[in-house]
Amino acid sequence: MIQPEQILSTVSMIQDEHLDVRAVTMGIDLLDCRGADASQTSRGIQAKIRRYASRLVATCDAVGSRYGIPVVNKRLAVTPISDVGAGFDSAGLVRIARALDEVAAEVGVDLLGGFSANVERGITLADQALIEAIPEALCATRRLCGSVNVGSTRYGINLDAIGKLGHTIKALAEGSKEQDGFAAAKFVVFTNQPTDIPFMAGAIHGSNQPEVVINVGVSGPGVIANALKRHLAQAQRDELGLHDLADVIKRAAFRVTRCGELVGRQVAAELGIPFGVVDLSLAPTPDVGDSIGEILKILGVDAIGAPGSTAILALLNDAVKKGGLFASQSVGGLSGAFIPVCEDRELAEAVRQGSLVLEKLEAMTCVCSVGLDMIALPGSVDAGTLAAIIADEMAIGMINDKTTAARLIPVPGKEAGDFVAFGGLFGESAILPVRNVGQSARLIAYGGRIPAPLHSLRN
Amino acid sequence: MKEQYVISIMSHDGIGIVQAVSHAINALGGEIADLRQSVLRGYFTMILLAAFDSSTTAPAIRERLARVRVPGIPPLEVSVIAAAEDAAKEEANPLANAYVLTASGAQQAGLVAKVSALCAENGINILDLSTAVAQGRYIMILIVDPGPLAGDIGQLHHKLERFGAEHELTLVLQHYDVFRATNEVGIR
Repeated sequence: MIQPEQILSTVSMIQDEHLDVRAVTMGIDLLDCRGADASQTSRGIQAKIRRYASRLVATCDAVGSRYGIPVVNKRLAVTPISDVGAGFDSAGLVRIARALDEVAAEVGVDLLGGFSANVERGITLADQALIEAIPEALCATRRLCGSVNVGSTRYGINLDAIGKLGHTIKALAEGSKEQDGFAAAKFVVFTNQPTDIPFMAGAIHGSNQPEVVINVGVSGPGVIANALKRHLAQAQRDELGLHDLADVIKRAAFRVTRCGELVGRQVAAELGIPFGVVDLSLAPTPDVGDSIGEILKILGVDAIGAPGSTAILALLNDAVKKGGLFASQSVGGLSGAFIPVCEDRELAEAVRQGSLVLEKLEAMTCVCSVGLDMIALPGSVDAGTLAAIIADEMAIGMINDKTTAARLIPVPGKEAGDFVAFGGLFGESAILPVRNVGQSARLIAYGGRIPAPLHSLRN
Repeated sequence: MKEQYVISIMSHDGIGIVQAVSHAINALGGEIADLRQSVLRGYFTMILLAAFDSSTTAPAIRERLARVRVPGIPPLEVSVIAAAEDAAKEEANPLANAYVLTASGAQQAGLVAKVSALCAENGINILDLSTAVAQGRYIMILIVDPGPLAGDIGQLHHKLERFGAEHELTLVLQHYDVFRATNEVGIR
């Protein structure tokens, strides 16, 4: 029998500490939906998504209600559309994008990921058409998200693609300038993109995945922050080392992950669909008390971005993985602490105060998941500079054999220090200054590839 | 032929009660099938299920147990009733469909009465109940079988929310599996 104090601490995790299941994402293979033209393909896609996903939202809500753990987001991830729509022109791919958005709304999911391509070793004609279609596809839709994988440890970095995507991001922001460039928040550039991510905007259902699968993204910065606070209040400070706090984080992460595993498996069982992975990511929201930044402060820096911030984040990221790994039968996705600036109240505040700058964020992404995420930049930053920021971030992923990503939003008409609010989970932030704008044009103009590192040759 | 009896014992707490009671049951030829014991602020209570030869009657068991003496403790309060036939069967997993209901309020007075009335009115069976005090609030922890409302937990949540608002209580209902998942290493 569970003891009363164990019951009360579990209830408190959900009631007071923002524990939720951040995302239940159904991955669906769409390769067999291919028709003679984009319209026929769109109909096939919609029929298949309806068939598998029409009960997803109701089932998540019912399971969430039973366990008292809300499933905040219900999402879909599909086969990268560059594969599904290969041979169609950009207009045809935009037609498919609209069909995906319609059916996402119909089945009630908040976002659908997969308007995507993998160009790590080169761009096919299909990839080219997809990249050309991205601005219109994501500006004309509400729920659709897109991603492009431009590099990997195995194959190196495709700088040609990064150069193009600098313009894509500018076009996304310009095409949605009425919403402060929000369409760029639905697009992310990856190195080493996993094929089973439940989180957006980078979710895809890779070609190595089953027909259909349920993946779960857990959350719980609030649970971890509170576990640390409780421990610090009870313990003698002079007896505590960081290794003790790492242990507290591990135990809290175990409990958080168990909740995600339980909910995910139950949803999968009730839908009669295989369960895939729990993504052990620590994903903040703009809510008070649901912040990674708060954990960094508890662990010893008075200003986020101060020296030591990277060391703390390394400890946090590692402890979350160690605690979560044992709690779940199968772990995947991104699995690490996120530092999405707009989506984290404390990080956004640190940006506003100037303690957290782009270069420090880049350093921090060396030791955590995922990368430069939800970063609002001045609208005046040129495409070449955006591409160079992305190239730096991708190099970190390639060399360190980890996933890195860039989700940059050059907010039209706004400059460093101005404020932007995207609403909901996308949050708000001051706009980060970018130093040395326009100084990287020759790098991007070279194009070509950054060769894969020595440790790609493992055989 | 064996007969099953449910026996309850209440007394001041002390060392040797379980030993003395089980010894007396053995002396009557009884076999204990199941047992729960609890101590609350210095008072002891125990409920047990035991099988006796059909020649042993309930009054005889009660009379024998009432004679049990434990040094330093007043005589035991004893009740004995014949058990229904299905009580002999061990429940496969009594907690498989159980939920945990926690109720907390600023006032202690009437908390148990209010929450148990809510359960009774809605056909919710209380399987286990304890109380606690945390951060200045009085808390009841109930493990319950939601009965007729098991099929519509959403509706039960609404009822709890309404009741909580009416009586200034915070009521939280979650499936027992969540507590197992977050507190036990093995959940399968």
